[in-house]
Amino acid sequence: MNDRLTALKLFVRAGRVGNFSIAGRELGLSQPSASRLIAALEGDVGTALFRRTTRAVTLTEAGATYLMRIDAILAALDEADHEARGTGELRGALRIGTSSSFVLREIIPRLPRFMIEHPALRIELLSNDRYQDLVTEGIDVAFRFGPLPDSSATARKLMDVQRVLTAAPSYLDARGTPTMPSDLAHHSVIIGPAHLSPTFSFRKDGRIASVRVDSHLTVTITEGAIAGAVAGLGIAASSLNSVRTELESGALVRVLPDWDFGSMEINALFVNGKAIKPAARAFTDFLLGELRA
Amino acid sequence: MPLKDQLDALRTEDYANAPPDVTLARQRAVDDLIASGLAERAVHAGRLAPAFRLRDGNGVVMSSHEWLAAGPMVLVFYRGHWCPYCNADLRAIESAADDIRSLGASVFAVSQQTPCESRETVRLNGLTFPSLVDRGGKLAYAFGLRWKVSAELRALQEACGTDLSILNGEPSWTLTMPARYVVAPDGMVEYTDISIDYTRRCDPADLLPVLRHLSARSNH
Repeated sequence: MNDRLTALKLFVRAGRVGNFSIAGRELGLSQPSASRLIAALEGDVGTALFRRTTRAVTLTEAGATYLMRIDAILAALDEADHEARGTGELRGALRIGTSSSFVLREIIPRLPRFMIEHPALRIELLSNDRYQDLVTEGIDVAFRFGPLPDSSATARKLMDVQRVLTAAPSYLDARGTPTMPSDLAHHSVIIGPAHLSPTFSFRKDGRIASVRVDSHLTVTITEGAIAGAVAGLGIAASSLNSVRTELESGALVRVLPDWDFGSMEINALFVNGKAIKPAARAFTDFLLGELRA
Repeated sequence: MPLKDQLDALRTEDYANAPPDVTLARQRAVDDLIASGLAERAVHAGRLAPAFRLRDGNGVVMSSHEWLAAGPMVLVFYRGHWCPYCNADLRAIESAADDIRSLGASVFAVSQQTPCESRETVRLNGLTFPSLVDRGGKLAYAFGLRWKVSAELRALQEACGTDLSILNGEPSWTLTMPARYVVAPDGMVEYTDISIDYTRRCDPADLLPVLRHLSARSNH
């Protein structure tokens, strides 16, 4: 029985990532074992679920339909186990996707409180400042900032966070402190994922002012842009949350605090058309409670 | 008196003198503009400025292409000399015009007014820079600044004697959001300040840091 359940879980992952070896590894299986299990499953079901080529493994038409059904069944099984347990205790694995800043500053520091309640739950944090494909990466819930790239995910808005500009006191001493947006023309901005263009827009008193700023440094992770600002390399744009620690310690100060630099949404994203895992729902509720506190 | 103080004084006077329904209608128009998100979609810094070939009030053709070849350009979009805030704004620009020109930049005002009204604006405010005729607001539209006056606001303006169809010489009843643009010689917009609330304008001194930066850049 457990063999069949493992085979089904393996089938769903292999169907999503298009690779037996990767799917097998996630379940602690070697590639040969994974291939064997899938072949046995196809034997039991009575039809080919995968088309195997030299380069990849793809689902047959029957396999694609079977995947949708099995996915729903496994999710229902997960829910049933959770409900039967009745304690609210979570088990299994929870794969969380998010950005570098958010994982380091908001999620990890709060994990001890969550994990102590659910000792049987295994958490995997997938940190990436670029686009994450929830489906192929098997992400149960992703926490992302900013506008949603498309409607391929179901989103639950957690909150709005203020966007800010910050710089090190040493940088401002050397280059001067901007008092209005146009002063930024003389400055250097660090481009990071939180703000990809060298143009900054501000709102104040019924006006919108925008200015083009020079940049001598680009970093692909937000934490890198913040570290660059702390090192005195320029002005960084980020969410207020991302620099709270540095603002409190004085390593960074706000630039143009009187001007509204906008805000961005934090959204919890779930795969479209798929039931939300109890663990994903529970963690999202937990995080929301923590962030709003 | 700094521009901000002048505008604040005008606003206070307006609230005191205008009938409440007029004040409300004007506020509603500003709120609608904010809600429409038009200013967010306008041309901002980092984009190429739409090129233009427009005549001033005397019929002389000015082309952005020619003038940018000589240096950066300051473009001041305004509504009309019938708007006291615009007059204060233009006079403030005039005060800063020498500073702007000493940094190698040209200055142009642009409105939807007829040539006659454009000339009157220059005369009234003692401007040493041209006011270009943007008939129908085509250039304003290209910059994303043009909006249509609501029926309510139109009725009020007509009652006040501000008939835009006469002042602008065409019946569209559209207006331009006041805005300033600093355009670099390569055509790139370096700085903008768009007034969604027409009673608020940025101080012309705010333009100088950008112009200084451009001037320093061109000297390298």
